[in-house]
Amino acid sequence: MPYISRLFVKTAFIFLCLGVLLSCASFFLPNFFPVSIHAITLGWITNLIFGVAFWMFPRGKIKIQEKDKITFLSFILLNSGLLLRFISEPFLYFQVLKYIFVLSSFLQFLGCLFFVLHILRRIN
Amino acid sequence: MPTLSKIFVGTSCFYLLAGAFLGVLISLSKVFPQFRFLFLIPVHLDFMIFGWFFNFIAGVSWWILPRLKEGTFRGNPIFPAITFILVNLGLMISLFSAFFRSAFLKSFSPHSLRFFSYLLFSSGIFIFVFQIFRRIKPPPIITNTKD
Repeated sequence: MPYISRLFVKTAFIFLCLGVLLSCASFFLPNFFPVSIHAITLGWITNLIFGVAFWMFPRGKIKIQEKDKITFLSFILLNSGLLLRFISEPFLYFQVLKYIFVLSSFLQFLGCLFFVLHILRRIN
Repeated sequence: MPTLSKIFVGTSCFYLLAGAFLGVLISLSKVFPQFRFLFLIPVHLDFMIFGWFFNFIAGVSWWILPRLKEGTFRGNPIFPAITFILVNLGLMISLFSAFFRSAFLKSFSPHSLRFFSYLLFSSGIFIFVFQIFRRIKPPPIITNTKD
């Protein structure tokens, strides 16, 4: 299993734990509900899919490095976006955090974009 | 990787990007009231769950699950093709139903249209599950002929 896949899969399971904790917290603090949903769908499932796809998808004639830069960038952007979302979305009444929240969604979008750029080469 | 799986996975990538872009629009609307995209939340959910997760998982499972008939045959490709058409038609209708809620098209019934998209999702998914169930089976028993 390549290094970047291990990184994705381990992060996925950390987000799963975080997601269930936040789901419990959202019973008392409803502001945490959207964050808990994103922790599970993006943090767990999407990270897991990205990691396993990088590992198992056919490589064909493409030479893919152990630490592929595009995939690594996708990992950094997606997960930094998620972490920024965690610290900003439940507290949107602070002005500064509003901008961080918007930035976090941009980072997540870019993380997905870099993954798609990589994986489309692999399925062709 | 079979062509059908490539189509499923390629489409799922499109929905991932489209869903994430809708997420950006929704986050802008949550913070700045001049952006009015909160009506797209149901489409964002449908795109991510059925468009991204389902299309991707269907494509990979069609490719990777054990084959029928001693490892040569994946099953009739018509069934997953029908699933693909139904689910993606449902996603398109889900997108249009969101816009029918806006003021200039209020005369349309958005809930019935949205319900129709969910009927398409569920019928497509039932067909896929019916087809893929046969392929979830234990590995063949290998006997060593030398003994």
